[in-house]
Amino acid sequence: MSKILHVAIHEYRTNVIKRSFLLSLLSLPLFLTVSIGLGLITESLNSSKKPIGFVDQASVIRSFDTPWVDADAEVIGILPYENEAAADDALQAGEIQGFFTIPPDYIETGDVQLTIVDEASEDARGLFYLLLRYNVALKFEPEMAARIVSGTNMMVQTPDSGRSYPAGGPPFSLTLPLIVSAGFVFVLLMSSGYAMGAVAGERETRTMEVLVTSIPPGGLLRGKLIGILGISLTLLTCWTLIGVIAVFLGGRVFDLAWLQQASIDWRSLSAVVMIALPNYISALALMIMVGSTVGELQEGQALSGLFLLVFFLPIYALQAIGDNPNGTFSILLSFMPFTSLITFGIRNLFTVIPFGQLLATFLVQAALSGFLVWLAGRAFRIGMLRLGQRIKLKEVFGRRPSLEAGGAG
Amino acid sequence: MNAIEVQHVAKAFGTTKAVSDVSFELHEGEILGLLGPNGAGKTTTIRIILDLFKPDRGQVAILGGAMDPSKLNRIGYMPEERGLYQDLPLERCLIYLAGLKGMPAADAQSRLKSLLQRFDLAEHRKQPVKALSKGMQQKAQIISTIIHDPDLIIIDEPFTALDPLNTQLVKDVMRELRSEGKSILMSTHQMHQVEELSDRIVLIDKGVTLLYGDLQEIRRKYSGEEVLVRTREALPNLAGVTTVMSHNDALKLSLEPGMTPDDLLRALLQAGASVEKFELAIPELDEIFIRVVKGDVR
Repeated sequence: MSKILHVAIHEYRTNVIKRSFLLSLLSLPLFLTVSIGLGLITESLNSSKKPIGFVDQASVIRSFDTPWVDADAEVIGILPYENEAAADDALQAGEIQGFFTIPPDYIETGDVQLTIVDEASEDARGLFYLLLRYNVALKFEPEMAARIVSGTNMMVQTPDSGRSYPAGGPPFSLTLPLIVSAGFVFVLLMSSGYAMGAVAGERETRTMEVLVTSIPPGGLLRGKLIGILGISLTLLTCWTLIGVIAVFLGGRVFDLAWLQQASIDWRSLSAVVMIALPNYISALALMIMVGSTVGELQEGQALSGLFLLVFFLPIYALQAIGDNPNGTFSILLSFMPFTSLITFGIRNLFTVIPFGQLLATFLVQAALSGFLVWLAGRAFRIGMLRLGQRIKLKEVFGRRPSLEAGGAG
Repeated sequence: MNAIEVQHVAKAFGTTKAVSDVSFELHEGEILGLLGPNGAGKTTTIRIILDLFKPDRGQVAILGGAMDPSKLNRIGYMPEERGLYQDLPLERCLIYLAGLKGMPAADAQSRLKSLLQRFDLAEHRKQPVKALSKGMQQKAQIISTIIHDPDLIIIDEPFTALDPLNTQLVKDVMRELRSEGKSILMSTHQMHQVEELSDRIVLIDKGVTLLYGDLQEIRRKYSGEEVLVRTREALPNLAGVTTVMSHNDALKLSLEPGMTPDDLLRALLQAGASVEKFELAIPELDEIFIRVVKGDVR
């Protein structure tokens, strides 16, 4: 087995067989599952299919038609009662989930009263309100009344006319690249932590000097990076699998319309991956540089904490990017290292990002990652034997570092 | 073929000269003691030998030529700043390090088993390194240095944290390695260990070689300045003697420069002293070390 592979396997095993890795692996899906689960629980609590009753003292309800509801959809029964006493009996007997009383002055006041024992579902209440509105509107033609009830199918058009989607929000295909960007940021942040720890930890535990007399420093660094790449791929693969299962369950089992229509916009997705790769390399290189130059692991962890903030800057600028996705500010954030990934995900919601811009951003990020890799290699060679010492940045950038190691080979 | 050849090596870090002019050779199958006070340039010299630092001047040959990656597996190195993976179980840590020296896992397992037994660590093999005592960690570090059966061993302060029993064990192991033809460069401050183990020594200070050669020859060279004398009666006053100190059953007399032991013996006899014992005091290595480093003699 080659030594590089040996280092890579060690790096992978050391980090993956840890409770913290399992927690990291589960954190994102767990967060999403809890969020979605809570939503579903709330939804199920509000989705009682029991009939709802009403007592019409204003004689408003003349039709029980519901033309705005799909013909094959299950409709909650709406039962009329002569008086409140009869409706109350039905409620107490558990035949209905509640009943509305429409007072004689309803037309003037718009007031109705809902009587419940526990709770009336949102679906039942919503259906009754629409039925009431439909009946009030029946002084027009039934088609007109149905239109009044249905409202308007508004399509949201983004400012630069790049995207349009229903008023309910962007579809799955447009949201997916943003989710993938966020996933990449999580992977990238975790991997950066591993990279920094791998270098700073070995300097702190004094293992480095033994290692670099067993494998050339370049090989050692490559082995570590391959191991960390393996960790990242493990995370991505697990999250992708969990995501696919979640979409399947959400769409097929829980009948979530948003997920039933799930499709993939491959262009946007490819664009995110294209930007994510150099960002990933840059982040790793930067963290190796930090790990090679700090005196202690703890100091490195504090520095990497600051680094996290930069990634999430576009989230704070969400409004500004959304208002003008092709504006100077948005484009600037797309080009800036580490903010580009999330910025692209957000911009993609509102606009079709021109290919030229995408390519230019990729080239900028790729050039930056190349430079950072070079710098990280230099910092690593300078810092690897300066155990427990902080390395000044001017030494890394300097023409002749004062303590640069040669390294066999 | 020499295992190591260092010729007039120099290395500076900025304006600080770490090594100015160091030269020595490590012969095959010998133990060479690398001595020097703190900051003398020993670690820098070792790192230059291992190609971790490029020298500004001078030549280094290791195992017959310039360092290249293929030689890394033939070298065992235990640095002054020791380090094992503290969170890993001892066995896994040592097998990983053996793998980095090109050992297949199965070979490493079997060799490790015997070494752990030899160093009395077998029952601790599943424990994390951090759970071991300093002495045990030191022994583990020595195992990691020799597990891959290297031809050249460079070892810095091998006896740190070891009790007398384990010190003896490590000395025995080093002697065995020498008898197997391994070449050992041993850097240490413990002079009596050097005297016991080393065939030759190189003493450096302020980045310069001060002493280099066969240990016994060096000791003989530095003898003659002191003489052990026992007389039946009180020692008469003698010209040319600077100090007189009690030394076991005799007196140790330090001679002025120019005064020889022959001169002293003649003076004693002329003074009518009954001489029971008269022998050259062969200096201990630490005495030579102090005298040379202080600059009293070269």
